[in-house]
Amino acid sequence: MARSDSDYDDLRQLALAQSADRIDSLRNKLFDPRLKPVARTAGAANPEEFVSLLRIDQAPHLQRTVAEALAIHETGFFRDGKIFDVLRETILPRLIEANSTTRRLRIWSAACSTGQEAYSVGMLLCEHFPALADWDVKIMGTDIASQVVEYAGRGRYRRIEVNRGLPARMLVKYLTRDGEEWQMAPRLKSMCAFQCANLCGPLPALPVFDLVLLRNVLLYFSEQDRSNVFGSVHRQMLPSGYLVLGVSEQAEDSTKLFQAEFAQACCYYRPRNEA
Amino acid sequence: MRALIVDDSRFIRQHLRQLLEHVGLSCEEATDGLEALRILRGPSEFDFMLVDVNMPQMNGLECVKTLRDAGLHPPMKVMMVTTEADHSFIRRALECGADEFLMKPFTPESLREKLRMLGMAA
Repeated sequence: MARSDSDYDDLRQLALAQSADRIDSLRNKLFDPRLKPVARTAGAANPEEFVSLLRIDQAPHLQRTVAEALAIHETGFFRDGKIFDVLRETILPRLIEANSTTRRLRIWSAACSTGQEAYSVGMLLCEHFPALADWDVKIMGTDIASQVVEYAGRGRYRRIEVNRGLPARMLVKYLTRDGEEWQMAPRLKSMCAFQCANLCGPLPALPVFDLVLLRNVLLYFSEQDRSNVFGSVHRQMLPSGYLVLGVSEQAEDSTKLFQAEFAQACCYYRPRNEA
Repeated sequence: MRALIVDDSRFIRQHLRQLLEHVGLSCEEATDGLEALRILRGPSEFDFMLVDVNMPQMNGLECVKTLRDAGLHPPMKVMMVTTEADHSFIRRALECGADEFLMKPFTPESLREKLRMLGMAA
């Protein structure tokens, strides 16, 4: 699709400007198949023409679509399973105790991709905290890419997706097969909602959360953007809330807004009160 | 840790052996459920069995049910790997004593994830 180094450089700059996504040049070869359908929709006659078109046509929707196409959407059910043990044994019991009066729980799967993380938390709640059945529980998934948000909202997954990380007992308990896909149970679908949000831009109207999962996304941002995202997330959290990052990510280099705590050799964060 | 691969396809057995050895399991092979039970009744200890469903002589479901009913290698984890992906079939496999289920086709990463779930891989 894109042919020269300068084509790829331009595409990387576009993604950086649109979504703060710092794309490594090693990912150049991933550009072409992802851009093909976008180029076709834009009416480009050949690969070079599409990149040229992007240079001339600064239409925000076209640039945004390209940035979305280049974003990484790697995800899976119960990804990095150990943190789900920490949620089950440490974080959720504490939140449930703290919220026993309001009987309300708000969870944010920031950068939710196709929704597996949000539904995994939903399954965890149904499986291990049956007392929450009559609580007001909402899991909000957000992502910059409208296509994956739409996909998450459908709550339907292909065989290759349910094969990844989802225990068979959970599969048969919380999903039903419908043709070639597997459909999330109505209770889980009603618990989870999805919408578009750019973590590096102004956030849409969102509730204030008890628990934020911000996993495997910060590594694509610059330090300044990471710092800004931590600021936004902090404002979106209750003082009693919990923040969970990806296993290879940490907050200390980018912010003083959160304090690390540890359980079962995993790290999670609590918001500090802003001075 | 030792694994028993049960599949009537030589190609599939070789493929699975490569994937399991890659995560550090040593492997033995059986071509159907009967041969698997014969091996399991022998002196060797096994930690994990990866078993196909559709095989001649004795299919995977019968094999798993027989070994669980007989109490052979009780701590051994069993995962069924098959193209059968029907909801009720997976439920039946779990009822027969399988610990996990992987639908074909699968990626090496999805197999590794299931192995991690069962404590068979780091």
